[in-house]
Amino acid sequence: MTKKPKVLLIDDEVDFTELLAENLEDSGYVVRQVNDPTKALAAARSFLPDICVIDLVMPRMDGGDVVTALKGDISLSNTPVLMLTALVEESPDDPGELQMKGGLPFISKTSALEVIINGIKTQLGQR
Amino acid sequence: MSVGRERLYSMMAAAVALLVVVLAIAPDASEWFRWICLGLALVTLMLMVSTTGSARVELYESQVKLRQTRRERDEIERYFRALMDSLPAWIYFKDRESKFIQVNKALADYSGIPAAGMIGKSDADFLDKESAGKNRSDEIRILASGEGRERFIERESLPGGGDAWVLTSKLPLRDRQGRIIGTFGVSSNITEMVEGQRTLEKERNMLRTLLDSIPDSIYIRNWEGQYLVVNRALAELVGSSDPAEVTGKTPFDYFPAEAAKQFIEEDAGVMEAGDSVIKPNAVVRKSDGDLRHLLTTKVPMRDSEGNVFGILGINRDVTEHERAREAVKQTEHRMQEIVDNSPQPMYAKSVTGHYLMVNRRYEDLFGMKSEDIVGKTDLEVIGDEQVVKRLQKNDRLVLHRGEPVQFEETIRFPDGERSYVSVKFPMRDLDGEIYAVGGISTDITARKEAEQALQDLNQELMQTHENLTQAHEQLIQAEKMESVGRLAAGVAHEVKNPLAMIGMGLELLARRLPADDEKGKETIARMKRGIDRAKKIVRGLVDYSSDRRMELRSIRPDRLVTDALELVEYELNQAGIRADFVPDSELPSVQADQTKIEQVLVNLFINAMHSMEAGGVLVIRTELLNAENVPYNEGSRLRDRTREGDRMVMITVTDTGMGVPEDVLSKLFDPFFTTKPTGKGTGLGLTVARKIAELHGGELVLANRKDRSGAIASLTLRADRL
Repeated sequence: MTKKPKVLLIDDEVDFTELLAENLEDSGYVVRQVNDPTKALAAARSFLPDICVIDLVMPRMDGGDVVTALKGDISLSNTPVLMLTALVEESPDDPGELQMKGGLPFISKTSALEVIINGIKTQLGQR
Repeated sequence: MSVGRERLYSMMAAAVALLVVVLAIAPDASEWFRWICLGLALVTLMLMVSTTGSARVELYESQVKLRQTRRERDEIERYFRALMDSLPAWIYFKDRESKFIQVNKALADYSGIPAAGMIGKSDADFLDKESAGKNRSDEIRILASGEGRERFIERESLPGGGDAWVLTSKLPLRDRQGRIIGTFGVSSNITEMVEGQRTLEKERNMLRTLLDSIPDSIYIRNWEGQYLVVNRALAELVGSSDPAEVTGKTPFDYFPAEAAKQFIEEDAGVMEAGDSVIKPNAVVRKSDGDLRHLLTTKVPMRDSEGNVFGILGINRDVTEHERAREAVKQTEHRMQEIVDNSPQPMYAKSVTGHYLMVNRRYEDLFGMKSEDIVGKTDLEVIGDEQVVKRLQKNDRLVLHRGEPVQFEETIRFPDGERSYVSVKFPMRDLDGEIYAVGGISTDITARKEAEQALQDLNQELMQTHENLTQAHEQLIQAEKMESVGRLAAGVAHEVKNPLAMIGMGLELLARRLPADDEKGKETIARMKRGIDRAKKIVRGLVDYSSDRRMELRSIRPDRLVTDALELVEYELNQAGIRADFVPDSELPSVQADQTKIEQVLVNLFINAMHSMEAGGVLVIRTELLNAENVPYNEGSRLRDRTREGDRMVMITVTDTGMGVPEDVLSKLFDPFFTTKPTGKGTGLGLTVARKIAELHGGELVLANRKDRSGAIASLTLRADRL
């Protein structure tokens, strides 16, 4: 049995992260959540996730800043990220398609769990 | 001297003496007269005595003479008798006592009494007392004066009763010595003559009265121009009160010399030609300077030998008639002047459509003289068959109605059309029969133009007002849309987060449901569908407010359609709808963001599909249009952005569905307006589609098909310039 991949959820929406975390855990992931983006870097450093799933619109620090911070950390610079935000729409033709914007993979927050998991898998596979 | 003669002398002397003696002893002789008579008797006796000596010698001689004398006397008496018996006149001799001495046969016959029976009688024995008395006093007067009465006419009573008109001469009867010894008379019965003359006179009077009571003036003039006979009317004509006064005068006395001369010359003409003439004359009479109009008839007058001696003239005084005619002419002239100076064309046309009159304005209008127009028809004067037909129709209506009617008429002139308001009216003769249509036309071209200008201005004003209102509404709408746009992004984000959360929750719940909890599974499925719906709405909002930047590139229109059709192919098949599209590769390409235009087209296809629930045909056509032929939405600004010569490609999507209710058409592009069942549409599809079309500098128009057999959507895009 392989080691369960670790997923760090960075999102100010507590209810969402709770539910997503539980779903991901049910799907065989080890999940940690950070609801305060300013604490994301610290959490990542301590958790050392296999992938960071980051919301874009957050108070005090947006998803972009978080990515910059993570990339700036030697220990985390190679950790793949998946931008999960309500700002992008699901592609009507291919809901599971990762949308690349500014070099980052985006997925709509309202996507089905399956889509999100696929996204995570894809990013993990690139590593 | 012979004895006979002597004896005769002596006998005569003796007779004288004897007579003297007789007279001397006459009881009524005066004393001195008797003495003279006795003297004379004595002288006579002495003469007789002195001559007795030669008396014997001469006796024989005288006897012979006496016989001769007797014979002669007898002869004379026979003549006298014959004369008396054969003369038709009545002759009588009366003695001093007015007793008849002699009467002729005619008188005796007339009286019915034999001559012998009358002798010795007087008038008193035969006539009434009055007549006899009158005769007697006449005779006494003659006896006394020795003067007769000759040739007088009197009414004579006849002895046998009745009376007669007689022409009588009564004279004294004298003896040889010239003494008046009685009277004698000759009377002719002229009753017949008198009666004839009276009848003649009566007839003459009747003729005179007739002549005088004729209003025409009648006269007879001779060669010299003298009036021989005139009637009262002629006297009055020449200003005289008495026809007799005029007789013997000439026209020179009553008329100006020039006219008089002419009359007389005319007379001469008639007399020479021997034929009558009738001609009008106008003369000024001298008496009052009045101008008289006469209609003169002149007939030559002939005497019993057939020689022309003058003319009979009859003047009918037509002055009043002439003046009335003159007055009518004057009135007519006045009316003509008014009519001619009217700025409005006036005309009268017979019931057969031939011009009877036109005024000067009418002449000017058509550049024709009145005499060239009268008698012609509209077709000949105006020419324009179409115009004439309308005019004639109006004329007929007036004739039919028999009352004035007002029309608006248009006539084409070389310099343009002119409009008239024509009042047309029936014209009736004195019996009330319509014989013509009259018309007065007022040029209202300028007024109409002004009206039109005013109307245009009003229209423009209203349009401006409407545009303003629309602009205002658009502004409000734009403001609204802008707000919606601004809100959309934020709202989308805020709504999507809870949606995502719920979605996650549902995933969790779904997994944890007992495998046999069908109810629970169904509930979760429903909730997922709810989330999908919410997501769709949010997506629409985001599309609307999303980045306006587009990635324009040249692309063929048929490609756009084909690609979009591919996207809905499956849905169309499922709905039993056949797509009918023939690509036209000849069309110029358009500048378009393919994804966005495909979004628009797909939206249109889906709408069409939804309206054809029972299946149908989706027809897509592409065509090239000039910008000005493109259908625009009300208030579209595209119209202002296109330039002349710009070409547009129009893609029309036509369905065979139920069409769009009219009250819905205007709201189709409003955000959140949808006719679809809840959940089937977001109410943003067309709003976004139109926005996209506008961002392309194009237009999206929705309408119903003319035959109401579905809706038609037209998407217009700018074609690339050549």
